[in-house]
Amino acid sequence: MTTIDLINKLAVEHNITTGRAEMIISILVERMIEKLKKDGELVITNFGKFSIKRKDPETSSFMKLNEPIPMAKNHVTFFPDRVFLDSINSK
Amino acid sequence: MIKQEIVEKISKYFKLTRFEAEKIYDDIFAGIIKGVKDENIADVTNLGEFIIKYNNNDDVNKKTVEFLPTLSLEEEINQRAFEESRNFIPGKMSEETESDTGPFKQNIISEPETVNSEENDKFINKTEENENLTVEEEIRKKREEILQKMTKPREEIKQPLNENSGINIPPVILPPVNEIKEEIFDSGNVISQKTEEINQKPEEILKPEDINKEVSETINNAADKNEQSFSDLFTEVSNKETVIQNELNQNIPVTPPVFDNPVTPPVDHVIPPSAVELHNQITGDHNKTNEYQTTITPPQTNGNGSGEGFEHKLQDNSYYIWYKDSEPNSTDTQTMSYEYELLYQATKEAEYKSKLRIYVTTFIMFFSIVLILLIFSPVIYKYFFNPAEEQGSEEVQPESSNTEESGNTDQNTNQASVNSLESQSPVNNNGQNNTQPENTQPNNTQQSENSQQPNNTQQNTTQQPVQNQTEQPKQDAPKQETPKQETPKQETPKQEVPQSTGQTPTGVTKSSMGWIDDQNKVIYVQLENGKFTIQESAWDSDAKANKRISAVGGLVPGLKGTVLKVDLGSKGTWYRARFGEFTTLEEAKKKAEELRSKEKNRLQALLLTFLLYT
Repeated sequence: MTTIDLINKLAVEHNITTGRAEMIISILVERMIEKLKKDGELVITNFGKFSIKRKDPETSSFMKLNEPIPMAKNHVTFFPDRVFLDSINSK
Repeated sequence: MIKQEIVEKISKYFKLTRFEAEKIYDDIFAGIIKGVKDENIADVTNLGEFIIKYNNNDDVNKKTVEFLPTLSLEEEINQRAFEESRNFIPGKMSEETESDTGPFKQNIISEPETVNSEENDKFINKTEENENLTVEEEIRKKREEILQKMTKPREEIKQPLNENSGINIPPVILPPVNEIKEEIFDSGNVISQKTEEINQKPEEILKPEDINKEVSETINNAADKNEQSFSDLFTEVSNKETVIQNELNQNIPVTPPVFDNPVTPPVDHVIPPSAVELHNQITGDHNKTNEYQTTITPPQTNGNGSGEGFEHKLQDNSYYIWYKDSEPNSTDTQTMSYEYELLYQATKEAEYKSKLRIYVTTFIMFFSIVLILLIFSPVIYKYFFNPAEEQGSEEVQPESSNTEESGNTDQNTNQASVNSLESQSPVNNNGQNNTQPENTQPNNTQQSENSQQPNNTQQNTTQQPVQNQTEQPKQDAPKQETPKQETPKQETPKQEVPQSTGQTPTGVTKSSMGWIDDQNKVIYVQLENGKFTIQESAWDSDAKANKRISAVGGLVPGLKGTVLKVDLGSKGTWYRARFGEFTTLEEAKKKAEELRSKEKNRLQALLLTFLLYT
């Protein structure tokens, strides 16, 4: 499933144009990202929880450089909600 | 929390009720969940992918969901973290920027109703507000001004509905693409405010219900116009296509599609004039000015794939081919092929010409050099191999051979030759008469002995004094030891030399061989009869010597030549070419000069004729 499928589905169900549906999804995604960046985590009921996990700075594997190079990297992790998991695992 | 914000935004942007917005919000995530469940994957643009992952350890929840964020999301998050460590943002400022009601929104809301009164009110408000502003407010104001400047190029569209009805609805602003969402949001707010105001005025001519309808229609129209995305356009186009298809299905006579640019036969100048000029310049044909500007009229029949009937002969016997299934208006293929052929011919000719020039010039140069060398070979031979030196080497050899026979060393022989030269030169003899009385005596004593030798049988008289000279060193040493010398016999050679030589002309030096003329490269030799002859050259064969004599005889008529054979021992036999008999050296020299000058003139004439011929 892709975003286009989602847009089409949304447009059909709610009787709106695909442009509007696309706009709604893009607004949703943007707000989600903003919130995630701002707070570091994002909880969506019945769906899951997004959180930013900070990874320790890595050292360079380049042996000629004796000093370690900090390469901090943040990862986005997702913990699905119980409802989400149940719906997946249900037959 | 996030749900509330998003629902509010959706409801504000798209003029939906809260219930509808919430339903949309729920449906989005439900759709994602369903997609993951059905297809095991859900890809949301700019966010990431939700993929099902199988967990073997947990029996209850075998399937879990893994989220793979997009690169853009990861970059944004990491960039944010990187910037946070660097940039110092004051707390208050950050709060202001992060507030949902941004400055842009505030600015538009505070806009007055009419455009003319808008600026005046703004100016008045500014002057009034600036007096009682804090620092934070001043910063906010500045920010707003900057934002206004950035969003100044806007087009204001007044709806015709507003003009007719006389209702003061704020103008719909067409913002830049990147600000479309905020603009829609703000315009929605303004319009909602205006609808409220209209509702509050029941004394208007129009009923509030009608006004609401009109307003909603205008909003919808404006929103549709502004929000028309690619997908909308696509749907519109597809709808048009379906309409056309329906029309076609209703047995409407099919009309051929009319293109904007109808197919026209390519009646163009195939070759540009500049290319033709270039070709003519290269080939050197200036008469062919418009020969290649051919016009082509392609056939009206369709191609059968074999190429037959599609070949068009041009004026210069070149032709092009219509390729299979190609349209007849493809002028590019014609021009390209013919131009290529033309350029190929031109370049080939030019290359051939340049190469030919190089070959011809090199051949001429080489041939001329060889000819010059051949022509000037005698001159070069004479300049590099001096005949005088050659003769000198000839004459030295018999001296050394004689001395070897006598048993003396080389040093003695050289010394003897020098002494003999000194004794035979008339100038030196005159000055050395008193100094060398002893040396002359043994010469006379040995003349009888030399006369018995086989060398004396030769006609050459010059060898006699040489042979006498060779005998001198033998007797020089005993002469020094034995002071017995007869003075009266010393005068005999003295008397012979002035009689024979007379006065030597300038440029002539006396040597063992005779009188060497360096200018004319000859040797004047005194014969037995006391006369002088010109020894012009010496050759290794009789034929060459005779040839030379004949050649010189042709140059100087009346000059008789003779060949004298000389055996020089290890050097071999040589044939000396001698010319004429002269009483004095001056006469001999004049003749030699005449001979050389004529020879020189002849060579010059030959050279000139050759040059003219070439």
